[in-house]
Amino acid sequence: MGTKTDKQGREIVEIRYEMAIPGTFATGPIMGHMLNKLKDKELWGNRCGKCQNVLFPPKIVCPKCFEEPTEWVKLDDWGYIATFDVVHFPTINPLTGIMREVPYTTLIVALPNGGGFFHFCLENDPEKLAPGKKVIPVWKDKREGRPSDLEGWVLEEGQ
Amino acid sequence: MTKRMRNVAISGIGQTRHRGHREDVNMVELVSEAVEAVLEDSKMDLKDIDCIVHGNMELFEGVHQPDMWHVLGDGAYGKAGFRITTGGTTGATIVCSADHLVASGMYDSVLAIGWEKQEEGMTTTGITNMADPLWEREIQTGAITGTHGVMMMNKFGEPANQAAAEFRVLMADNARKNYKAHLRIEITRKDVLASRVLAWPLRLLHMCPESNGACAILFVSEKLAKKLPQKPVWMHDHVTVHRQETFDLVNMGDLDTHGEAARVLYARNGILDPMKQVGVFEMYDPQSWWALDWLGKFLMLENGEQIEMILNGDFAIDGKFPVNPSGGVVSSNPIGATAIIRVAEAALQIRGNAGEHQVPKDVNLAMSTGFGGTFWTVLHLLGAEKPDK
Repeated sequence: MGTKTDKQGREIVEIRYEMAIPGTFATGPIMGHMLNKLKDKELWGNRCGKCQNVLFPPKIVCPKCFEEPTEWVKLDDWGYIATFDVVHFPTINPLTGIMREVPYTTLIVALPNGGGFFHFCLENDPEKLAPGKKVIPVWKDKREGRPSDLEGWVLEEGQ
Repeated sequence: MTKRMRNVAISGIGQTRHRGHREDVNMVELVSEAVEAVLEDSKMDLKDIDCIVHGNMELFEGVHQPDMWHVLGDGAYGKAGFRITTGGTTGATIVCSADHLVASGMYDSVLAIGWEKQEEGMTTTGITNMADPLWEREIQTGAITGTHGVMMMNKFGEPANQAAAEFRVLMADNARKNYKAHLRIEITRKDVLASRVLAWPLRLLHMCPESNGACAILFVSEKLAKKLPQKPVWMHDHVTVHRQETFDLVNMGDLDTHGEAARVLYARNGILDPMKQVGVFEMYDPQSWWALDWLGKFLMLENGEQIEMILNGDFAIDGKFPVNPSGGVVSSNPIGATAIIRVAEAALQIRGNAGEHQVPKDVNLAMSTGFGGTFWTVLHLLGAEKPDK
């Protein structure tokens, strides 16, 4: 319990608390397969048999055709920048409860064979980044089957 | 227009003064301020209201089922009630719901209440919990994103940068005329461009604030509207478009949920030239870079004409096509109330009693929007005349 006063000098009583919500998320077989493959430094998506688009992260149905994907596809280990955010405003990572260090950069990686996904970019200078530039992944040494197994993406040399 | 069983009118509007700090009241008392204001505006007795539709953001204040707690502040005791929570569009969706509830003949009077007390929680943490916990949650930054700014800069260069800043200045100019607005600041384009970077090229002054506030609108049948003192504002149509799990990230800049909503609404209501036929537009502008992009989407400007229009002052209160005379979302953002405030402000403009920020002309039609995660958009059309006239 804390006390404050307002502009007129009246006492304001506040109750302070912190809320922690421990959670466990089931991956299901499709996301689980992809997350497991991260341990081997491999990115796997699934392909819709109708529109041929590759979905990453993989999905149970194609969001365009509403058909079940028909095959697993190992993705190339590069992509293009679709867009990016160099973030200077710290926010809490809701999975860990830890405040993020700034600046950091997020990007949407566009895959050469279709689809795109959010991840981190290890370049924080917006002048060096632009939609269409080629990026490659940097893997962590210790991987445990989660998106952070990828440290992030860097510009391919010469970009 | 859409098929309606019967006409629905807005016959009362109530808002709090939106503020960054409201430690002097709790959530129930905050909501009751808007309810008391709408009862005063409509001259309705609370006992004659049939149903309450209540909404705010999930997770923001960390209160489960706040509509239960708020019963003594919102007057829902003993009445039918619904709680609706659709993220940033909540305020717009409760309006759709209240409209449907009256149009269907189920109720003659429905009070829609949107509210948020952002100081009592952690907004960005609430928003980032929207993302898929298996991939995006670790990455998402919430509403603070410059991706559209990057795309607009890439396409239009420095004029886009100037126009986003100028639009923010216009919102501040309008907000100073609206005593209910939260940020009523005096700023220049230079101030906007010198404010600190949040997510390049998005700067602090481009971004909406975290506000505390509530807004309530009374929706009634035509028969009841005739008995109430305020000039009725008629619900004409509304369109909702969103792409939760189906949006194409690569083409994020061209998701065009806004454009799709506008095309459907215009086609159904015989609107060929929105800037000529619609008198005022209250657009949900969470940040000025999005505003810059979305003006183009809603108004069907395919080549970035809005950039020149902003720099010409065409969207000013006395301009060619007034946008956000209230000061918009960048001036006040009690999120669960933000989208219903857009409808309230559009309705005030039609009634002609918005106060100092009233546009200096008769408004026959007005549009308003709500916006939320995954480019969820709700577009409303309100009119001075009944829709079937």
